[in-house]
Amino acid sequence: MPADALLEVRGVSCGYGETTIVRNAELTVGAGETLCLVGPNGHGKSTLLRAITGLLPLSAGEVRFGGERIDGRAAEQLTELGIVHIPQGDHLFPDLTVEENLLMGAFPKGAWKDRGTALDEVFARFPKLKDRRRQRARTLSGGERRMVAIGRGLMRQPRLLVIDEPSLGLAPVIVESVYEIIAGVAAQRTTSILLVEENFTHVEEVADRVSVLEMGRIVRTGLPAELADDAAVTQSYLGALPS
Amino acid sequence: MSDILSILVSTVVLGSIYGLVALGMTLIYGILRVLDMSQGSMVMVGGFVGWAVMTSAGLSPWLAIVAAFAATFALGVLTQVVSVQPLIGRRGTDFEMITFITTFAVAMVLSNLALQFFGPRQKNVPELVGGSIHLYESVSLPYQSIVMTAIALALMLGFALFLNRSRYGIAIRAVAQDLDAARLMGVPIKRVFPLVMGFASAIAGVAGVFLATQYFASPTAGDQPLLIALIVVIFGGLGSLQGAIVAAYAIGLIQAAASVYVSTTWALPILYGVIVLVLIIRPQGIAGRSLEARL
Repeated sequence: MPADALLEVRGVSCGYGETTIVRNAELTVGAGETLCLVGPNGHGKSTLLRAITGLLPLSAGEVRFGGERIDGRAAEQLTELGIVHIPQGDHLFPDLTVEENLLMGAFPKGAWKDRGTALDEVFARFPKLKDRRRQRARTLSGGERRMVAIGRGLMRQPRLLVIDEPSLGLAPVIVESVYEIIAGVAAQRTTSILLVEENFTHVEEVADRVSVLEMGRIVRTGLPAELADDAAVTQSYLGALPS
Repeated sequence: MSDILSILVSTVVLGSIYGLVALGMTLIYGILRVLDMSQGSMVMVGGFVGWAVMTSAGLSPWLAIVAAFAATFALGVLTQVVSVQPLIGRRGTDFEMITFITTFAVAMVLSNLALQFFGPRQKNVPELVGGSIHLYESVSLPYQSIVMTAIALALMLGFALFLNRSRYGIAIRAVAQDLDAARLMGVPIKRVFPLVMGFASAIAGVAGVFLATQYFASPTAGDQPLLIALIVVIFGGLGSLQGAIVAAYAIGLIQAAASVYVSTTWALPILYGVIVLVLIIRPQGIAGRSLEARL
């Protein structure tokens, strides 16, 4: 476990209405660290992310960010602390243009004044988006949408980047380029990353540590190599044997 | 020639006033998914504020417009906090239907309060400015109409600029399209919602002053504008701003043309007939998309 934890999740349970999805979850993300959360579909990975970033109330436990308790605060307040959540399925604003979508990433007051520079940086990272800046988000291809979603997340300097399945529904070539971007951010060691991914190949590329979530519980945390070697874990939780 | 001119003049004046009321309703529906039945009351309140400032207090009509804007802004924020905010995110309720009823209740309360305080009599409100330009034969264009149209267009243009250019404007459109994503961007939705209803109501309030100078201030002065606004909003395609503004002028044109070529008695029945026809052919309205986030 890293000494200087940026995000600490302690005994968190949460769910929808009467249904508890995540039970007693424990995880830590250190400053500059990339933690990958893996596990089968429908076992609570996205639900846990939603609870961490304030979209969903906790039913038990606590979440600390930089030592400060943040559970109970609304999602819109947590962005001020530098927490950026790139949700599953992108959640772009379909009738805003690419540029407007990106600008929304700089909505918090501090980020808004630097929006010009941030926009140039994102366009430098994704040159294709620059050509499409005036186009409505709904007209983009799946890969372009993912780029807008990630670019929008990078419009303010995030301290913690929470990314939910960035490879979902994309062609393998595009997944490669998405992971190059994530690896680039991870390598800078200035932004902590909490990543949900089902495809273990990509997990190994970027993760410092991996936690496995099964049936709403964190059942294992370790180095990617340790988990990849554990054939039983790989098969039952990740659905595929390492080749 | 003089027919066409007078139709044009009424189209622009009517369309601008309808556009103002419909703009607010569209904004509220597009962003909050509330069909705000209290918008008619904002027109009525705007009319009474105009009357109070101009006739009772004898102050300038410009002050009346500003006062109506401020009063209905506050009332709109209050209406949102009281009748809409508590219902957001409630499980097991049909939000659109319930808020339709709660805002209707607010409308009832407001018109009965007006009846209590001001009585049922219609109150005359003086023109904003007197005089007119003679255009052609019997057609003249009152300065009043020019001023109202100019203010209405300026307000509509101002809102379009605000929604397209400013930080909060883009955020308001974002909220309408994906609430969760907007929250993740840091948009304070608890502040945005009352703000939207405040601004929308304030525009209706200004339209109320205009209508009161054309007709009267009375407790029921908001009823017909509400009906027209509902029609404009549905005709334009629920939630579509451009659609609403186009529809406002289209409806103004139909009403004006029917009054000139048929008779004023037949203007409204003809208008409604045309609308029924258009909606049968195009149920999503002029610019509406079928059941999706718009704006």
